[in-house]
Amino acid sequence: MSALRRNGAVVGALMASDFEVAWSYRASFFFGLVTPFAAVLLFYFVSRIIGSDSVVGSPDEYFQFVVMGVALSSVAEDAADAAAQSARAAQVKGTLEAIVCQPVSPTALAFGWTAFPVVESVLRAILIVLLAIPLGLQGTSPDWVGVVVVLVLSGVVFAAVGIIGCALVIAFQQGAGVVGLAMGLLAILSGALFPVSVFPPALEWLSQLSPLRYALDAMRAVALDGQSVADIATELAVLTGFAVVLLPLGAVMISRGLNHARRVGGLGRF
Amino acid sequence: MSLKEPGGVVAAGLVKRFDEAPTLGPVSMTAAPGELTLVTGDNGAGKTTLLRILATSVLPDAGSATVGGFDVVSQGAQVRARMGMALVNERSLFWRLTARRNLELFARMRGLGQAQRRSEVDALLAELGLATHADKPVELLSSGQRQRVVLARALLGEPDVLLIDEPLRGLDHTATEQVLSVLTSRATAGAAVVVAAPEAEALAGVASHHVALSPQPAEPQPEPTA
Repeated sequence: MSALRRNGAVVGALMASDFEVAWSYRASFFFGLVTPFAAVLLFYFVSRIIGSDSVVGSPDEYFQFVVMGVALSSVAEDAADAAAQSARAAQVKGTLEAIVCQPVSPTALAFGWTAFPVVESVLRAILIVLLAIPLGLQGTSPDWVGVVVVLVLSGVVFAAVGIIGCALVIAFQQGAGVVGLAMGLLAILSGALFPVSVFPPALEWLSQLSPLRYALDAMRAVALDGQSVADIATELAVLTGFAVVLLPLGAVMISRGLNHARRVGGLGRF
Repeated sequence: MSLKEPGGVVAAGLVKRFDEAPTLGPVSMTAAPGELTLVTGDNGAGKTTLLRILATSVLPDAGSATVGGFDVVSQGAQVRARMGMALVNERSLFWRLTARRNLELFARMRGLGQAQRRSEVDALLAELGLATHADKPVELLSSGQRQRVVLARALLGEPDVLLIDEPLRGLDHTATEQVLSVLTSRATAGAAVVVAAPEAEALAGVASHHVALSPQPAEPQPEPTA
């Protein structure tokens, strides 16, 4: 079996088992899927108090802006947070040592831990968009190829961030919540809820260092403004750059995190 | 020099300390393919730590070891592909999943194809007396049944080396016989089977080799000051 197929099997196996465990808690599973309803309603009414001459345009334009921001940033947050949370859960439940003593690559393991939460998050994002349509979300016809490209590339970038967080959790048995907190702040800084043009210059400059800003800009362009993949080439290039740097960094860090845990005997502890 | 040493387990001068407290060693031992090697020692002698080092879950501070011919420090991935480990830890199972789904999950991680996965999981469940409990969530199994699921997991993929910690703990007579039969059959089939237990007892009759670990010395106490 080739390494790629082998790693794919590991990712598939972990995704399937995560789904089965989530499905075994039916109420929680369904409540998790319907929570976007509250967010959509909240931002719909917030958009109604925005004046037509605001920096984000009309109330409907702000609603479209924020729906897309919430949908994509929640996927990015889950992609970045999932591996660390899963590693911590595996430590606490006691499954971590048994898993890492299997012949699986650490990076495949982290992607496996990320897969189901991201799929669940993408479903929630789709639900957010679907719920928002009757409330006024109407872009020009979206470029679906662009939407998928941005979604996949963003998923890879933030999963790589998640692998780094996962490495720290495996090594030090704490810090699982830090990634989620950092991603929440990053979402605000990147313009998920309002345009970065309202920031002071220093913060606006800082937002250029965030991959989420480019992901959001690209997604709004293809989903709301009807632009094509060619029109967002700059954003895609920047996101690809982040992926090229963060993926190998994550792979190195998770190997080092595991080695540290092996040295101090941390794989069997919580 | 060949990268691959002879199969089985070869350990020389293994030492491990946690938080400056001696936990293991120095220990030297061999476990040949086709033999069941029994490792005994009092509580705290380092039996589980030894198994963890051989399973690549813990790195030794000193000494060296090969498992299935590969070095546990520098060739961990190759070791993990040839070794199955079962520690005394029911929590290492996914309690919301059935016994069968637990085994299938780990079989997929070991790279077993679908047909092999199904037949091997079915065979192991039957061999360990778990067939009638296969589709119950692990949380509904008894402690002894969970322990056998952990053992079944270690046997997936027919590893060259088996590292098993206290396999008979808490088992009834029938389950004890099943587990002993499974362990001896794997040794007969050519695997190097290393079993750790505090007392030889029932395992002494099936072991072909015995390694006794010495208790670790107590930490030196600081001199009282006047």
